[in-house]
Amino acid sequence: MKSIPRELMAVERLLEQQAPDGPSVALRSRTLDAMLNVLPIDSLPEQQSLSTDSCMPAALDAASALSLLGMALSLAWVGVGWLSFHGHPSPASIRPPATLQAQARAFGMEPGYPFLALDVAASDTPAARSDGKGPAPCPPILAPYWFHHGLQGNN
Amino acid sequence: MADPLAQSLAAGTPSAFAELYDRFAARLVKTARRMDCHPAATEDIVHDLFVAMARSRANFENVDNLDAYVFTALRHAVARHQQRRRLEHAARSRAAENAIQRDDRATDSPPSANESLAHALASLPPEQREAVGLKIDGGLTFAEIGAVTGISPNTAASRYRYALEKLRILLIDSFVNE
Repeated sequence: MKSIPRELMAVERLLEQQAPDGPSVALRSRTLDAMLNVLPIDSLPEQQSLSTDSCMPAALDAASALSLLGMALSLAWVGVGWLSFHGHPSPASIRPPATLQAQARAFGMEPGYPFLALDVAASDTPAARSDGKGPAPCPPILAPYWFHHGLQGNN
Repeated sequence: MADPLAQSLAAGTPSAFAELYDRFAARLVKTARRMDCHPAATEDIVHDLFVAMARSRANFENVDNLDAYVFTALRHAVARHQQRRRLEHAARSRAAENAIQRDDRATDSPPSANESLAHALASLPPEQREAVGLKIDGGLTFAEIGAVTGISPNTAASRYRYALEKLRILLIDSFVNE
């Protein structure tokens, strides 16, 4: 390809010097906004499916399951505490200590194991000591040790 | 070898479209202004062009020369705009056009250097004006101009050279005399 002759290079320089104006500053933001409005038609649903279809529902499910479990446990805790505090039939009477002791022996366990404290405590109550006569006070069962002894100490 | 930016554009990456704008917007606006000679419309043409490219971004996947692709799209956009404008002009009555031309002549003042160049460019055949715009304002090579306009690189170079010669005849003498 031939190079441009010198006399035409002057015209070329003149054209370069008197180039038209470039775009306005506002055109950039206007155009980029319009392009981004066009892009999400295909690209955003993919991102949304990642966030809403898999991540968010899983997180919500886990959170709701945990909250439900927590509510159930706290309700059970309050219910058992209320039962034991108001002199309802104690689990010791529902399940005789002999049965628990027999089960413990069947499992080869000694009575000193913590879960057997229920039986020990039940047998150590005034009701047990008085051969079942008189009102059976609430044994310290299923309520925390500090809870029961704290109440007794306040009384 | 495909342009890496073209691959990002095909994937719909938003930052790639910002890069596309920064790389081409100024050159496209200047080229369109040189080709179209209607400054008010060029920003709309370029704006619509970018939006159209974002909409049909899948086409970028097979683009080897991004410059040639983008300027080919600009050429089509300018051609559509010029055709629309011709139809609008044709819709006007001849009497009204004559009245406007008489008013223009009455208010005409001596043209400045810029206006002289614009008038000289406007007098060029469209394909020569296009070659000037793509070369000077678009910064394309003759091979790319050939790819954009569907001609050989030699023909593109010839058009450009003829355009410069014609402009020289129209302008250089007057500038030298000044």
